[in-house]
Amino acid sequence: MMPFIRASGLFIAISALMASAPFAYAQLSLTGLERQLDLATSPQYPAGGETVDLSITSFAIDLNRSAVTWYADGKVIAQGDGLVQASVKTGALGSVTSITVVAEEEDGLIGSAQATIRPTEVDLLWNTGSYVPPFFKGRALAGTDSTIHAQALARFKRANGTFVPEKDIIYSWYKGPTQIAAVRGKSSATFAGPALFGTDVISIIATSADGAYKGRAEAHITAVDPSVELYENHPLFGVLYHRALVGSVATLENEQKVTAVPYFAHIKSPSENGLSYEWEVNGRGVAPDPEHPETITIAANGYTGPARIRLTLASAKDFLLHAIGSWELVFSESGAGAFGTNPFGSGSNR
Amino acid sequence: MKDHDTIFRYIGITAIVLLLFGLAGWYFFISGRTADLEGAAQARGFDIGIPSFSGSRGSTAENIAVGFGTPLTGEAAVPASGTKRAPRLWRVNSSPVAGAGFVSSGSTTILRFIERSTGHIFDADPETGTVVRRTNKLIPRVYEAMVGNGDSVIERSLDDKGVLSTFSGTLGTTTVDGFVPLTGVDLGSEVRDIAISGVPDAVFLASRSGMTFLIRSMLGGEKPKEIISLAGGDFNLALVHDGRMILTERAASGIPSNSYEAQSGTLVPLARNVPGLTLLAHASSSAVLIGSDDGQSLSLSLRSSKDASAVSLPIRTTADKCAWAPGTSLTAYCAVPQESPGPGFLTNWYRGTVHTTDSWFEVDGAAGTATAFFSMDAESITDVEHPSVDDTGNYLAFMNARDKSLWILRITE
Repeated sequence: MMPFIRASGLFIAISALMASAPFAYAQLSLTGLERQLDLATSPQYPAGGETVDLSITSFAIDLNRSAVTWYADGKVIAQGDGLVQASVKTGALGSVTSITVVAEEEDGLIGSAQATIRPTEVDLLWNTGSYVPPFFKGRALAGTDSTIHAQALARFKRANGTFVPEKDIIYSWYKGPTQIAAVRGKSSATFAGPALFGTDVISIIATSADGAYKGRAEAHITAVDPSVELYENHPLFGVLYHRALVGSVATLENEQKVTAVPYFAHIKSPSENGLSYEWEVNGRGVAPDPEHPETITIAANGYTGPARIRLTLASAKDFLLHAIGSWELVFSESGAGAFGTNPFGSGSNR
Repeated sequence: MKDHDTIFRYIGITAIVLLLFGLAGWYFFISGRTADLEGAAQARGFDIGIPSFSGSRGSTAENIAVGFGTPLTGEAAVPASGTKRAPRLWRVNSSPVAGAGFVSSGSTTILRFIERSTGHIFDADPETGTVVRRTNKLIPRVYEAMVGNGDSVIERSLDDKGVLSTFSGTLGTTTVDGFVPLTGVDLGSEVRDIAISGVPDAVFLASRSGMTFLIRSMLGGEKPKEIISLAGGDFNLALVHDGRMILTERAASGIPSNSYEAQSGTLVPLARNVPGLTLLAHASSSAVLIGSDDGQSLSLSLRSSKDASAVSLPIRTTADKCAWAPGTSLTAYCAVPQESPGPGFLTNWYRGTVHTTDSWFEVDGAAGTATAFFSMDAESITDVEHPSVDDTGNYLAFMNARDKSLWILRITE
């Protein structure tokens, strides 16, 4: 029976039996009687066109006193005394590269190892259920109490150009070192996100049912503290998501409607039940719109000067959700207002 | 017997005469009432045009901007005749627009755009600087819009309850009261992203039961065909002119993402594990621009073909700020922040908490070089987004992410 080990995204078959050879550098004509060498590759699961570092170790022969020859598809790729490392570039997906290494001690003792490299590609896609506003083009990061939806894409291309179908691939999901699922033909998984300020390493190892192909991918998912941004809610243009209120800004308006957006909170909608918005303007509580508590209207009523807005957001469902934001809106009678005055100007509010 | 005939004849004639008198009286009565109604309507001002849209362009910008008392910097004067040329850098619309795209009308190029406040569609002539409003269909608060060839448009809006709608429509060929009818359908609130191109179909991502579906259909949603379904991942969708569908995982600074060309039932990778990935596919080759935000700084590289290695370009920007020139050349135009935007740029930029001031560079993909070709002046500080080049390669249109205004830059003066 031929023993084999798995390494480097490829299937490595090693036969190691002892034999003797009369030359300094062994030719690639093994008898099957050589001693076994341990062959390792890095990366463990190489993709197509990737450089793979190869290394050998052995307890059977003294590699430091051996002439070592490395072959790829029968051609010498490296050769030297005590040369325990070499590298090879993999072919495209669907290619097969046969690696053979032969080491011969000065006294004629020979060791060898063989491996077959079949490049694979595995991608791990993920998204969270965290809230971002409509039309947001960025990734929704994992906030508190988030849920992760992951999808693995394994591309195991055979030499004949076809791909191993999903139903013939076994997907093993890991959260850190712990396996959380291993299912044949199911390339997706859903699990709890990382704890606040923590990072989860999610990994997927995909193996073809016949064991010929293997690949791995991982994602580092870090939990972020949900934060609140404030935007002008313009009567004509709606919420100006492209222009957050940052720091202190001036306005020539006598009344200003603003909307808070709780980025990455574990909610479906900013106005859903269970969320608590506590608004303060210049230290006094302000009642928000009951149907849209994320929105308030500040009426200056002739007042000129700063309106210091403070918002505390909490959730009855998620006790870790506690976001605080503060901004300053300066109501002016004249001057270059930058917020809520001229939607047609550049309106830098930095 | 003869007497009876005479009597019946007289009765008949009398009846006819009475009927004619009755009809005449009814006519004069109705005419009088109509005149009274018209007079009353006129007295109430019903025949006076809607004042807010009586300007030459009828845009929100034109109607409201006067209230702010300041001239709109960079806006071209609308010429009385078609002889005046628009400035090289022309602010087409100063009020927020939802989207824009070039369309060809005969031998001329037109920049079609959708006003954010009303959803009205306008055509701007980049050569003469004239702007004409095409439609009067009101779709309030259009946050995102796309323009396709063949008079197709997509307008995405939110109602007061925050429910999203995606209107897919086509401009009519007739004119009513000076406007072209815009007819179409709402594709529903499940559409997460959508793209259209020169071909008369649409590609959209829809979410249902925790799954994301990539669907190709006719513009009105007819004949939907599922391209692929995924249980994880969050994508931005792009449709290349030749019909290729590009899915790029939504980016965040420092977080690796992937980009794919979607084919029936499969995703072919274009870029893998690139932090803060933004990607722009060439319209007529397999070349791509690959932007990266590693959390600290931006970088841009170009891969000229599928099997080529990516070549790093000497400009620091995102692929979102680039547009390919038409044709097969590897020329692209990229807006580059004049100063480093700082760490975490992409995430902050998408949230609208940070903006850049950009200059334009021309990228020569074959040589791997980038040359500055246009700098904005102090009056035209723009943070470029959604750039596009027309089919002639003469005009570059883009939006300013600071205020969603629309601009055109003539590439060669």
